[in-house]
Amino acid sequence: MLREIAGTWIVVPLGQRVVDFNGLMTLSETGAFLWKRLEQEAGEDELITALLEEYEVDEETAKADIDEFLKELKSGGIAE
Amino acid sequence: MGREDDKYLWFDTVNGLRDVAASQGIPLIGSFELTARCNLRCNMCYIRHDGNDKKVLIAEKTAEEWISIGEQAAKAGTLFLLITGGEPLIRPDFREIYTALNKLGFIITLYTNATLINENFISWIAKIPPNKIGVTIYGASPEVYAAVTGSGSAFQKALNGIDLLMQAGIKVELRTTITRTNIGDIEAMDAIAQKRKLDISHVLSLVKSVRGAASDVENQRLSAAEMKNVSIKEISCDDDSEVVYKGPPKKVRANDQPMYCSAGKSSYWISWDGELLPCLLMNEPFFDPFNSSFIDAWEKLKFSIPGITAPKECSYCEFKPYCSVCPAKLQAETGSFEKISPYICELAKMIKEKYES
Repeated sequence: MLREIAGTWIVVPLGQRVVDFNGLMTLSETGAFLWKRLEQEAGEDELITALLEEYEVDEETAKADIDEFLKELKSGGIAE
Repeated sequence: MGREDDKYLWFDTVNGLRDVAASQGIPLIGSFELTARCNLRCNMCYIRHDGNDKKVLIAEKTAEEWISIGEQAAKAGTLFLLITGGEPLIRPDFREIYTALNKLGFIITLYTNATLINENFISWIAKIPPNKIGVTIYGASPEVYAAVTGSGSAFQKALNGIDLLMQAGIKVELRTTITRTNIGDIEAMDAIAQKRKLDISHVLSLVKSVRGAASDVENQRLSAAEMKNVSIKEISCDDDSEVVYKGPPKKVRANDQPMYCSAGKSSYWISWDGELLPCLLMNEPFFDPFNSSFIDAWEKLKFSIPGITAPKECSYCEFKPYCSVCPAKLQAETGSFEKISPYICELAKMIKEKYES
């Protein structure tokens, strides 16, 4: 679950995820933007499209950024 | 919108979240004390009432009421939630309350004595575990448990509970309260933690109860002289400070206000009978979130904090850098924010002497 508290985006794990969770994770505006799309079950291609529409980046950079983001979520125990 | 500083800023730092919450008056850190009742009868407890205490039972808030307060607290910005008691697992509706609170996006810590944890409980909570369970242990043998809690069998039950939680992969931290009855078990209790690779924290300086607990704090707590020879660290209630009995104070207070911690600024405590308080040791100022609303009571509580005063003597006291005094402790010890407490003064003197020697 993504919560905004005191102007900060915070990922709060729910259910059994809690036991895999390595500390408190917060997201930047961009991270929160992607997270909300992940919550709507967007795939990687849809994330890239969304990022290109919203931010001034080229496709290659967007793909690299999203790969990095998903990798970080996995290593934080937040996503599969 | 451009990329922020042209960096991979997906992850912000959470450092400072507490400070920002305090400056904005957001109730970030909350505690729900679901009951004052407990299945154990610890002789130093600040809150304890018997498990079947009818007066307490009648005055407890219902599951529905706690869930409603939880929903309101989440909306108001509470992130860290402590669920405690008494022994919270003694409530027959504990699972109903916990399940609902767990869906609201809190980072939950649960405090328990672990004696009511069995396989049935584990199979339920393992599906929706809290971030952490803090288990208080009271000794390292059935004999010491019997002397402190009134139940020798509680020792094995607590160990079983701890081991079941660990087997389920739930994060456990041990806590203990050191009294004249269990002071001989400090090392053995530490060994219980070490064997399981768990952290253990110790509470040494106990204050009198402000809640009419059926216990005997004054005869059980260590005097300053008795505490002098204890070479362990005590973590204080304020996350940012630490009382170290074998060294200098680690941290000078962030400010010189009487209420120098986060209580009533970004943290709060809701007592089992429904009072919103700055912290667990206080019985005023209090406001009623159940008959008004959480946010209304919180706003009133925040407004009342700057009015809390301190004893004049403290402002020029030579032991001040070594002293853990706060309005909550004074209220518990003396019934007033403005009266000094000989017990707290002696502790400060002892810590200064210990450091200087």
